[in-house]
Amino acid sequence: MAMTRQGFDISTEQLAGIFADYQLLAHTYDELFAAPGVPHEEMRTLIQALDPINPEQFESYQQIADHILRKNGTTFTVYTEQGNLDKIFPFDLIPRVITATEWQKIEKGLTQRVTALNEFLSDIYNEQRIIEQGIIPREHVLASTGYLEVLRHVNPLGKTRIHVAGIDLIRDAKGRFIVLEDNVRVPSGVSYVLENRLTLKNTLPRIFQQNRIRSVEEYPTKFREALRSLHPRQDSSAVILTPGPYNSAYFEHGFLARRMGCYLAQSNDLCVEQDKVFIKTTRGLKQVDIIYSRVNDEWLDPTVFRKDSLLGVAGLVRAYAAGNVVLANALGNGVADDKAIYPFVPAIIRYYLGEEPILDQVETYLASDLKQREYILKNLDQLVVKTVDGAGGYGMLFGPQASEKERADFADKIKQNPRTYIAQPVVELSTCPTWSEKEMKARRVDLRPYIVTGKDSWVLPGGLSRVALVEGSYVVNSSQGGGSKDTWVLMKE
Amino acid sequence: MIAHIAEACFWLFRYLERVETTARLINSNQIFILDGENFSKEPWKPIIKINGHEKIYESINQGHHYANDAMACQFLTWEEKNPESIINAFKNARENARSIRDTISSELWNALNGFWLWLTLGEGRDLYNKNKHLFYEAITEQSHMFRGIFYCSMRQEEAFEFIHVGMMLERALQTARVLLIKMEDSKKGTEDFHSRYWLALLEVLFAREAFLKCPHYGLTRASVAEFLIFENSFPRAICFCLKQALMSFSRIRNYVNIDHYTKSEIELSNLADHLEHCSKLGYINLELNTHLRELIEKMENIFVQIQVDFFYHHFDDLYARL
Repeated sequence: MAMTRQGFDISTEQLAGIFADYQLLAHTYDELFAAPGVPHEEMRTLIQALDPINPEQFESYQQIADHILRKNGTTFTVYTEQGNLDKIFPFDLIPRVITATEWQKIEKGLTQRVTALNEFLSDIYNEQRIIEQGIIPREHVLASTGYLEVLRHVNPLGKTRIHVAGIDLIRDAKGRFIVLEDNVRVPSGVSYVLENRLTLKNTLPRIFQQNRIRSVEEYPTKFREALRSLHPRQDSSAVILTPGPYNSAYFEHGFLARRMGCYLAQSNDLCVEQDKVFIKTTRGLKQVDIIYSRVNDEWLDPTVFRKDSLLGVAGLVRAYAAGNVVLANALGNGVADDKAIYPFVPAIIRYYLGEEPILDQVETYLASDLKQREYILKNLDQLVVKTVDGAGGYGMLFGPQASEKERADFADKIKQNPRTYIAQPVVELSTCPTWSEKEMKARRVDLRPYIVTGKDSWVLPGGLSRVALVEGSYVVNSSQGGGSKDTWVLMKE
Repeated sequence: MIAHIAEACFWLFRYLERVETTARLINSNQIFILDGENFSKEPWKPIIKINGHEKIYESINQGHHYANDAMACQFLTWEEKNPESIINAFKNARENARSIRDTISSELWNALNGFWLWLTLGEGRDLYNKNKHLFYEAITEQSHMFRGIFYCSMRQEEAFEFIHVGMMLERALQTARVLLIKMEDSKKGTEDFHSRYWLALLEVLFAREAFLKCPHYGLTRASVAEFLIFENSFPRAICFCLKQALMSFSRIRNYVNIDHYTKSEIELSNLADHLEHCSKLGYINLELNTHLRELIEKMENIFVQIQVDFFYHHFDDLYARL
């Protein structure tokens, strides 16, 4: 056994259990291991606690966790011709760990970014100073499908527009956390953060005992308080607006309603009279002060947006504009998380806050720019191409793994609609040990932290770590074979 | 009905309520103490205290070992020397049930006995060793089932009402004890710590979601106490339980055909009236812990008085039994 001056060292010989054959991926950062057989310093106790578990035991823990999730109904429904299946979002037992120092920087960086994006939205829907000063080209902003001209000069109660943001982070080969994309419309997934934590605690409590891990429990309370702080009424009433039980995130809508103690309403349950929003109760109409909407903007009010929407509430936008209801997130936020605006976010931070961005982001080429488009078309085999308003990993081209034909098709699309596309170099997403077919394998992960903003911002210490369960895959989206992990943020010593 | 049958009825769900509270306390505490911010040197001490026999715990586990999950769970669940361990409390419940098999429905007896076999013949122990969370959750679910069978398989006459009085008064007592010890144990901490602490307390008493659905209660010490003592719509709030017990008392009066109020009913009625008419703010903000201690004492006296009024004609060995 290898000894160091400090005493025992964990060396390859010592990891004789489930991590014994764990292989790192070349040119890729690993979340738990610094080198083969050598965990990062602060993750040693975790690895030591996990390593002796034999594969059969581990498999049985995995089954217990799945059973708990299924029983809690932490599921999404898949509709097939054979019938409806309740599926769990695959959950991997090996947690992903972030140190206190790393988290401190992430927390500051995220708060900075959300603050700046909030300022950006206020400006874009009012004076548009950032355009006047030539920092972002006018046509670039106005061409965004997320920009809603009809809301110009409409200001939300309490000024906050991004009440909850999910800013996706990835780690590059050097181990730096960088921003991959912003989600400031309806970022989902937070219920899995809480359920994953609870499931892991209930399945493998002892791995928590040697570590001090920050709690994620207070999210619903924090979010509820943040929303309430924006409404002048003391005993304001809040509802969550859901598209309904057929929505794949319906579990989350119900979860948040239970944990935040508010009504879960569908559009038919709400109505607007004299620019005020009401909920239809057995005791008659009751005024609603706060709506956390899980319905996309375009469906929200058929009198203003899509006329064919059955998910919306007629008159809601007028009530919002009259300042009678807090709507979270605010309407029109899509312009801030448009992927063609993303390359300008560092400039946005500098412009509004006069600060350098704390978190870096991925280099991005805009197809709308002639020179950049030429570069994209020439290097399609090395780039990831995304649609500017896409989500869920759909409508993207992963150049290095795509066929000739796929690339040619995409080249045509880019030429036809350049404003719709951006391209980025492939980032070697970091890996984390993941239980796969009875072995521990390196699989790529990302991180979605959640930032809640009322009067101030609060970052949930943790987040959703999504993992690409397929070997070699970079796509972590749940809709495309991704799973998730518990995310540990360690406390300061 | 025969006095000793009535007594067994009275005790049946008192034991079952205790079993349930202990299982809930363990499950909730196991999760709570794993958060880094909730670190405590003796995380199991309040739970052992609520269970009521810390001296026995300390003598069995030389030194205190209030940090040791395995020891605490063993003591609270299986320890034969702990009169209130889950196994002992359930054993008592089953013994009571066995003595009144002709009075309770056979469905209720079968369920109780089936669970006893599960606990003692290995299956329960296997699950305990495999996953404690699922084990304690199974106990909670069984408790719901026992109550469900009781409510829908027995005639609502005297025996039913004695069972119901025992269940409701014991539940009020459990809520008061849990609340008191959690209040005494609540330390100085950040606002976030307290919000988690109060939510965990509510969770033990099945009250988290019910509490959050009443938005006029903020998540503070005072609101949590107010909800658990005074909220008339919540089935584990003390006032609710006392009122339910009083209703059973008045029905018992009708069945027994007595034209006067028993002493126990008068005491209970006074206690419920006092809570109903006192200033809630004063009750909670001034000396809450003293009030809770007094409440617990009064309830314990009521339990004794019920024995005197209905089950025993003499005081002999009454106090020894309790």
